[in-house]
Amino acid sequence: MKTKHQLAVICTMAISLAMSLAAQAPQMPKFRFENFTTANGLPNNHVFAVLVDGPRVWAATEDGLAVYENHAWKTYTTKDGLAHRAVLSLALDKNTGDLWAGTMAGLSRISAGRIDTYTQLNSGLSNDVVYGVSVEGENVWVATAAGGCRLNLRTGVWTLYNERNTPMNEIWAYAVAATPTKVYYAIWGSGLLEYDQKTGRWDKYDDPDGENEMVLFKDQGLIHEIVTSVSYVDNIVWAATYF
Amino acid sequence: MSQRNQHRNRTAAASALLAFLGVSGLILSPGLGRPVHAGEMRPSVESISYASPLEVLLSPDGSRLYVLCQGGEDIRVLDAQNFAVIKKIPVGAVPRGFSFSPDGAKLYVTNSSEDTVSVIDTAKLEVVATWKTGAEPSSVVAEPGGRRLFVANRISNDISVLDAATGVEQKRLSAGRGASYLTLAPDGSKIYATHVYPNPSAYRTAPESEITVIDAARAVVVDRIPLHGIAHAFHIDFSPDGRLGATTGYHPKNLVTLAHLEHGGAFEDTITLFGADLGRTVEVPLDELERYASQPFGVAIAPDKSRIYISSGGSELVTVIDLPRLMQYIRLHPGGFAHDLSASANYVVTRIPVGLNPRGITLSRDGRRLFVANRLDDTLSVIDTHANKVVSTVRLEGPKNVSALRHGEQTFYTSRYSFQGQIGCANCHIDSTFDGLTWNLEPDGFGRNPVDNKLIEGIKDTEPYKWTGTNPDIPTECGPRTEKYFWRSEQYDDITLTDLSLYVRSLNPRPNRWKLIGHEVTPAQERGKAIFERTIDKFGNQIAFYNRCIFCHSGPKGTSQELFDDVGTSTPLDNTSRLKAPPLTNIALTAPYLHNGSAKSLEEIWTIYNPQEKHGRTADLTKDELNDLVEYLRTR
Repeated sequence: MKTKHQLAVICTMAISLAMSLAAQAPQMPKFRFENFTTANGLPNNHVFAVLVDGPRVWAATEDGLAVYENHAWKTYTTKDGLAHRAVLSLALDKNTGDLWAGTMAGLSRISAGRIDTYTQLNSGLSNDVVYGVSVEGENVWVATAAGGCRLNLRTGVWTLYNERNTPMNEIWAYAVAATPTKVYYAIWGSGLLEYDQKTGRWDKYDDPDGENEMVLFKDQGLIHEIVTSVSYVDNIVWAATYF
Repeated sequence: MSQRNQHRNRTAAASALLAFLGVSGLILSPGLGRPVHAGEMRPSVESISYASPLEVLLSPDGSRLYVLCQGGEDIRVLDAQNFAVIKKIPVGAVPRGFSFSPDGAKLYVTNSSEDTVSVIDTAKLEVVATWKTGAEPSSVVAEPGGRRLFVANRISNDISVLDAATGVEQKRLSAGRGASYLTLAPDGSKIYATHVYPNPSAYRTAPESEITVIDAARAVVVDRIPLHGIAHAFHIDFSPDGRLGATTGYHPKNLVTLAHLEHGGAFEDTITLFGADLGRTVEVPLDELERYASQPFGVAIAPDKSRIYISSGGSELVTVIDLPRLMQYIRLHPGGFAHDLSASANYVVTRIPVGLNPRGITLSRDGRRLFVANRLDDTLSVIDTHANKVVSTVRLEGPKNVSALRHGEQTFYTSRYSFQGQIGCANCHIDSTFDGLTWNLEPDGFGRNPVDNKLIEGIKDTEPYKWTGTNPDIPTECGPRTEKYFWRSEQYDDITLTDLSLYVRSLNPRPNRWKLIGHEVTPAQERGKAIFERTIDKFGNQIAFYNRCIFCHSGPKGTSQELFDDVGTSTPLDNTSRLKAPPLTNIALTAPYLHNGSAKSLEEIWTIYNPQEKHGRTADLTKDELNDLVEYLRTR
């Protein structure tokens, strides 16, 4: 498996003191770190994603989905219905409060304690390895090892995106960021894909020099074709590449 | 001629008629010949519209009685003292649930067949707005702030959240399967939803449903209370202090052979209690040996927490429970007693006979009167709760004669024909549909041939019946087989069986929600249709005709009505691999699939259960194409 960046621990940071106080006590740290590991309840120290949901913090770990609430960790596992123990990605449906978790063997929805699992065998999901998930309105957008998918929660219809209907040369989709206007897919080896929600058209951002080991065209496009993560906030796209 | 001989002659004549119609395939469709009931001519089935009161509510001030009439597709407003009709308000198609706005100024009514809510102004007594909802809205409640409406959608399995001022849908919340009944907790903080179909579960495991708990202010699901063993749950009521909730439910015994009605049978009829008074859920049996409370539906807790009242649609009675005695019994039996037929004698006060197919019930504010909507005889029973007697029966305006179709429907829902009155057809065909369960039936052998229970809408003209096609027509399906193996009791007389068959034949499919308005198709549905109808695979090879979807699932209902040898789905438990191609009517609603219910979704039919490609040529399809095929099937 080509893992994304792995965080060894979860850290919380808080501005602990006002600047004036810091000036009075320069030896005190500006931030307070609190680290969470298996020592204090996390099921595994390999953490692939973290998500803040009001008073709760969700952690996607290699050994289950953990939630931190009321100063304690609780872990959901396959015994609770989770698709797989290794959870790779998380997304919150802010409308309903439901959490979506992409795993190594399917996509799970955690809704008030009930877990519903979608796999490539029991649903229209294109592939069980779910690297990325993002919720936009009534659509759940999914990045899998066999392209992208969109599940419309109202109709139950799955729409698949792959080399047959998008400019996706490789179908290894690593991440997705969906908004009401644009949806971006980070594709391993096929740059950054952009979907216009209004027109239904796809566009693509590539590494303009096509070089794997060097950057010839500085600031003229992606640094590399292997894109591993994407974020789209306030009309700005951030993309993470391999090199 | 003696009476016995007269009866024998009439029975013989009816038998001959049945035999002729069964063989000729002319079973009493509405346009054909009608049965004659006990020497009287009855009106045409098409022309009769019964009121069919399903739910009943008292106005907040107690002065008016509102009756939801599903057959009449109207709301009847009655004076609560003398029961004089004040107004009949037409609403939408097949109304199913209703409730008042917090100030009582509006009455909201769900129209299950057209996916809308009618808004009635209770001062003008007229519909002032109609709003769109999800699929098959079945009940509605307003949150106490009056800003939002919550609507339970039975076949989209979700809860619509509407703006109570404009009717605009704000969002959908994921419910359980068959979301149908909503109740606002007395303090207004939570809304509780129950479900008429079980949630998906692993193959041949006990069914499970849930009570979905919604935070009314935030409009999000905050809890799901599991109902272990319960496949179908209906109304909920709370004590006024909000500390005790109760919901009615069917607890099927579908994992064992359905052969032991004489030993306490096929279903447990129960209520499940929950809330702070208990701190857990407790399933409480209503049945007693020889006195069953079949098809529990409505529930009401007395204001002083002295009694619980439960209507039972199949047994045609209201069970009265002494609540303090029940709570004491629960304390003394912490291990549970849901399966104990001797338990109810310790807390059931009485069982009060009411009308046919009693459903919704409501108590007056002082708890002195209980109103019961008797759906299949167009009456309301008024029970004096001190005397525990029906003190008045209010006949609603409607046809006085009982048509053959109506008699057939009454026969379908009643439990009186089965041994000790335990079950009726509607136990497994919830509201004349299906139940989402796999059963093991005795005729095939003990432990043999677990079979998925199919939808019965639109089954006319799809004979033979049963997965193995052993029943040549509906009278055989509904008659001897049912009597011998299910009811284990007296036979229907021939007129009753004829009327029952007529009713079953009259069950038309509900509107397909995946079809677009105007019957246009989406591109995916169009591509899927081409796959369904293809004769050549993607490599250019001819597909054997018996391996084409369209061959076995031909015709308007998706069945060739033929039996086919081995589509690759048989198991060692099956006596035969020769199965009938089932109809595809509303197939999207009826999971699980295959003859034994092993496929939990349409996709699994091909991704898991077609390794030898005997159930259609599908191995050459991409995942996109399989999804297209599923999209098309959903439109059938």
